[in-house]
Amino acid sequence: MLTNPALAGDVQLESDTDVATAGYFQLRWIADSKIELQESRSASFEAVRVVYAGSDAARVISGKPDGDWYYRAAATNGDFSNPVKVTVRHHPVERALGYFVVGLIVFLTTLLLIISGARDREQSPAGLRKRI
Amino acid sequence: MNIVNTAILDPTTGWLILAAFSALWIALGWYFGRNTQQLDDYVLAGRRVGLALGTATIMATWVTSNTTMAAPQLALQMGVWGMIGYSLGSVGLLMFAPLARRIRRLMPSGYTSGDFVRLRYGNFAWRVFLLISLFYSLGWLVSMGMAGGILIHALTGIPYHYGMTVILSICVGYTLLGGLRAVIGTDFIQALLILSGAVIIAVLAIRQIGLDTIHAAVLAERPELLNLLMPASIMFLFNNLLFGVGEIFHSNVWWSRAFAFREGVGFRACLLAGLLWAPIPIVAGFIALATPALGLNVPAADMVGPMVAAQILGTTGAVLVLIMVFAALSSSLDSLLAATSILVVEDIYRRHLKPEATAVQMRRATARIIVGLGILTWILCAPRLTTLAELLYFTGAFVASTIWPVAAGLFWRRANSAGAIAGMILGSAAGLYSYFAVGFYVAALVGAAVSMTLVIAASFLKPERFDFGNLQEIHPRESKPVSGGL
Repeated sequence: MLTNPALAGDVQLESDTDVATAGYFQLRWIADSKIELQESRSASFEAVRVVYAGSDAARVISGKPDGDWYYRAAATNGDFSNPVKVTVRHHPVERALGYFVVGLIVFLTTLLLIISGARDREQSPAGLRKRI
Repeated sequence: MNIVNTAILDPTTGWLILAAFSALWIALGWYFGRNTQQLDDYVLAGRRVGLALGTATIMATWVTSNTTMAAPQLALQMGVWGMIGYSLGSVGLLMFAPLARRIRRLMPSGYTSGDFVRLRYGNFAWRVFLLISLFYSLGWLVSMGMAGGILIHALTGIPYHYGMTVILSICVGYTLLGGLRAVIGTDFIQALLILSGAVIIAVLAIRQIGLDTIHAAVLAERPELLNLLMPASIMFLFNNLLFGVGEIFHSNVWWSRAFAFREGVGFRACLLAGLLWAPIPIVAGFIALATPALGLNVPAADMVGPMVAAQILGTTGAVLVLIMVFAALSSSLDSLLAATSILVVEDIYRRHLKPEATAVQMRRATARIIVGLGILTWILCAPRLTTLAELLYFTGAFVASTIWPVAAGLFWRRANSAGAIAGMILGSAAGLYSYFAVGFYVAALVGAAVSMTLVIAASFLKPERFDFGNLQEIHPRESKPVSGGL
């Protein structure tokens, strides 16, 4: 679901999230003309970088490092859209490693189950019948 | 919803391709429906499939349209570990090797995975398992329908809903006409096209743009994609591994292949297929990383694969990409519709509602279920709630919770039904919670971990002493699944 809707002139810009925990998010805009999508590290757009210029209506931004990222869309007539702020806040590395370790444990334990079960003759029907 | 206004092909070309493809696909369905000796029937019924064919069919089944669309998406979102993580889906194949051997030995007459769960754990566990299987199948169906709409919109600008409706209509028609068994031949062709296509495009990307340029562009525009310590992608690694394991361990598509192999072949075929498949998602994912160097705009992450491929190949190539990927999607969708309808007809309709159903009643029910599934899928596809990968990994919360109930059920006589039931229900719930609370890239991992813990705990608290011989004593099913045209 899109958040951050706001109206400003003829161009509207939205992001699919306010906080990106994996460094990616989708920007969508509504405009009557081609637009120029501008990115800045400051809310006042002191220094801007043009990330896209064209007539599509969305863009996936990905691989961003931590920080606040500001976007606005500029129409050909000079109108700017509402500004959109997305905070990229990657999960702490410790949390990621925690999940990694849990996944590793589950994987290895499953492997152990299969290997030992496959080897253990007592788990076979014939073996079981012989014991009884 | 319409976010591509600069598609490489124009809508007229798109419609022409769709019309020609639809006619061809329906004709194929009609043709196979008339042909009583289908390749699939021959191969599976013989139970004598050898190593070469066995390896090939496994690879063909595991290479799906998601290889062309979800793998590149994950590379664009998760970077290098996204690509490599996706290839860890091959571990499920490798781990299935001893399961295939075990299944064949314990149940030589051949059963569905659902029958195994029922015999091993009882009816309640079986119903929970069925619900999970159905949910997973539906999730896949929706992802396929969505993928059709996304692909067409990405390459031609034709609105998403039209493309989605066309692919679902074609595939429902094909499955109704062509019969319920997915023809292995189309699996082969699809896999071959995707394999060769991915390699060709990757090679062309490197030759046209250059590895250094690709690398520099990614570093400048999307630097975290190259970060091997990007947290979300580290979390994704075992999540995808366990998702793949869960998919294969629970699905009757794989169990039925285990029954089809000659004695001793299944083990080696699974190992070989797993190793051969592993590089494919890396190649497909690499294609996505060429996006910055190409200066391409990607409006939605699941569009990146076909868009980059079309850009590299040019307009003619774009036509080929559209046809190839659409064919792959249609082939996967047909198989899924067939497999899901069999599941519903056998395990719900016949076993729960009409145990004495005649062949005619089964056929009629099957036709209605196929159409019903198509309609339900359309309804769920229509709102385009999320991207492909995120939808797939939603089902991961559920299927990963079946890993331990299935594996422990096969290899550990202590495993009891309370543990299996708790594992599936609470594992799914935990996975679902983590999907929303943390991200799609941990749902399967959490589901599997919680399920494993509960199965182990229950088995130590109240160990079962299951006699695996019980699985051998049940008579084979009297009625064969309905096949042939309807």
